[in-house]
Amino acid sequence: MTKRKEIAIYGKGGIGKSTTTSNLSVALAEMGYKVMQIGCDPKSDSTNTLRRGRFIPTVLDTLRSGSSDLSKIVHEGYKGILCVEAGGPEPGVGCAGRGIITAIELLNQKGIIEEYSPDVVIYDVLGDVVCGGFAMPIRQGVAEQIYAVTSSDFMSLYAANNLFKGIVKYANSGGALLGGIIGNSINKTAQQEMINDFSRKTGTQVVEYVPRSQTVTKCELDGMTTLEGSPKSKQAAVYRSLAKKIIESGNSFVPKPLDPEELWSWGSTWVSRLLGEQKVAYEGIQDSKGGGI
Amino acid sequence: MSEIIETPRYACALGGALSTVTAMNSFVPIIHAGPGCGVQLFYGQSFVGGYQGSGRLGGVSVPSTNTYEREVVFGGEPRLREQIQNTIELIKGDKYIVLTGCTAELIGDDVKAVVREFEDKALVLYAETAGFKGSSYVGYEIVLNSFVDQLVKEKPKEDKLVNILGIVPSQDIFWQGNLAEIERILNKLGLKVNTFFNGRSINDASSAALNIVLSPWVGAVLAEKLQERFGTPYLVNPLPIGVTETNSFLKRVGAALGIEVAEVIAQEEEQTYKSIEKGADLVVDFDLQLRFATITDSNYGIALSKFLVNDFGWIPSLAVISDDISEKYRESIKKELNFSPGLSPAVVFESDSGKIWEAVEKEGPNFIFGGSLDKDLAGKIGANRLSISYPITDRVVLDRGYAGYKGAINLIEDVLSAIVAPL
Ligand SMILES: Nc1ncnc2c1ncn2[C@@H]1O[C@H](COP(=O)(O)OP(=O)(O)O)[C@@H](O)[C@H]1O
Ligand code: SF4
Ligand SMILES: [Mg+2]
Repeated sequence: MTKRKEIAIYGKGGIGKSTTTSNLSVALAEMGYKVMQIGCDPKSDSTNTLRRGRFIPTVLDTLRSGSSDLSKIVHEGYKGILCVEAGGPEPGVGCAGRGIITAIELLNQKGIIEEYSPDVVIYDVLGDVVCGGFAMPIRQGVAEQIYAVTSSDFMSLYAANNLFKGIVKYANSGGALLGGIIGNSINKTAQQEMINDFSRKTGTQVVEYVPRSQTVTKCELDGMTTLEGSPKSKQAAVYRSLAKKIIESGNSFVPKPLDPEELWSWGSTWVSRLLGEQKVAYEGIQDSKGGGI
Repeated sequence: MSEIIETPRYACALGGALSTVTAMNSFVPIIHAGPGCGVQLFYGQSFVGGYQGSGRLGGVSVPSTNTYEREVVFGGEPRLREQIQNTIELIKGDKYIVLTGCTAELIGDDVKAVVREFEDKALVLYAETAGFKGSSYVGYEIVLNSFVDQLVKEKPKEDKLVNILGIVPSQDIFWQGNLAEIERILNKLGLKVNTFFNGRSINDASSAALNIVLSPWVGAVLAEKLQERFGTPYLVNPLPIGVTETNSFLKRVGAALGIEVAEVIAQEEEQTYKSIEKGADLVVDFDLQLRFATITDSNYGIALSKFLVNDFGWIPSLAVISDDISEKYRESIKKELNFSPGLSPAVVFESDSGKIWEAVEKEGPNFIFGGSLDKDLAGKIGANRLSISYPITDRVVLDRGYAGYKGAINLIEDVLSAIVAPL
């Protein structure tokens, strides 16, 4: 590998960014790459499943304590993955957006990435791109490819659409472009079709559909990624396939986000279709159990 | 939406609030902002404001939280708490007011909650004066509004007490002299005057029988509020300069309070004309009837034009209004500047000095009333000039004023001196 690959994973809160990112990191490490995963969420839990659930001191903790020593913020996790958490303020105070900018600036100033010289850097970013801070990794010179994690939930697609707007904004000034969409928690064909339709309408591409799986939950409870806790599972194979596609893909898109009304009317058609299917599914469950909900 | 303004002629809201609180000389200001705000506002208002020093509770001795990146990311409330605590211990004065700057308000620090923690220890008020809220004029309004909301309570009215609003300390470099003259004249009418800066407290704002807004717009909203809350009537009367305008001002005050003003007017008129007469020969012999332009805030624009046209016989060419005023006041300001046909100046609302100079150059007046920024312009078009509006670096101003009867004499002295200076 000649050039370092730097990507950022975005998506609505709780949609599965960190789960997906951590499994992706392990899959890449299995392929022989030296990976650094940087959590950019004030929750600071991005890399937990790479370290048996333990929290680590964050980049911004050093700022909080007034120290300028960043030597203790890189922690080796499973398979030698370099774990970093940006950190941030308590909910409801300060400015989390500025926190992300500050953390990335500090990492650059201190030459942390250079020092460890990883082959791949993955930023796991809290996802509604509400202000300039959360757009930092999109801007010039940070990541070069962005992946959007989304389910078929409307709000999650809405967040992805907002992310696309952010990417368009910086696309002309050397910012990152979209690598593609990662569908997460996708078990039904209709959900796949919906995301597919969304990617078609926005001129983008779906990289992988990751099913919702109990294996993920079980491994998470043990403080592990799926690849570590259940390496032979079907789910693990999906993450490996995702990793392969991402590392090999040079595709980059300038997405064409939908305007709010367009997105809304498109979404409501799909949501009613999905609800129809769900109803059938519920009735099926009721029948087999022989009782009401 | 936003454009770059080349050398505007005011500071930010925090600046206006700071100079207002400093001028009160009874509340200790505590700045909750980045490390530069306090210092640059001090130099930006004092050194380019006729070199007025800072007084006991101003300038570089103003306590500031100096919030750095750590406070921006994690919130500045702990730093503010610590600064209030330290200030209470170090600076005697039982009254404090926290003035917030841009950073604190951008990140949304809950200043009100922090201030409330000190309820039992001292009187600590707060005003949200982030620079992005507007100019120094806006800052003056915000901070006085905070005093009214957090401090002023209903009190029995004193029928001979009036409040003066609308003069922003430091932004009006001649604020002390102007207020002193207004106070002197009103005292002669038997009135007591609370300017908030003359040793009387803003605490008593509700006792006044009348609020006088000495500006076409600054303080007008506050006067309206005081009327709603305390039933105090108000009148809006831009700064009066000279006999005509000051007479008319006194008549309005007299009418509002039901007091006789004729005798005072007659005395003052006589005194003033006696002094002015001495300059008349010079004006007549040298034929000093000049075309003038003003580059000032709306208050001075109106005041200077009225005096120079009505009392001095000069010809207005252009009035540049530089105080960034909202659309809704512009029509009434134009009306104030409407003299008899052929004698009304062109009125331009502009804060950008580059554009201002272009406009003035096109008009080519013989005399410019502006700030020190306009020195080169005057040289270029061969006009005489007097620094009268912020910023001023070529004069030292302590308590000189231009308002009222005495101010008019000062103005004539200074204008004529500027003309004869090269001789
Ligand atoms: N494909 C999946 N199957 C089952 N559970 C999942 C899957 N993806 C995510 N989760 C669960 O959803 C929850 C939120 O995921 P997380 O990765 O922390 O979200 P985010 O980082 O986007 O906020 C976690 O408990 C995680 O285990
Ligand atoms: S504009 Fe904002 S940052 Fe600048 S001095 Fe005023 S309060 Fe401070
Ligand atoms: Mg996460």
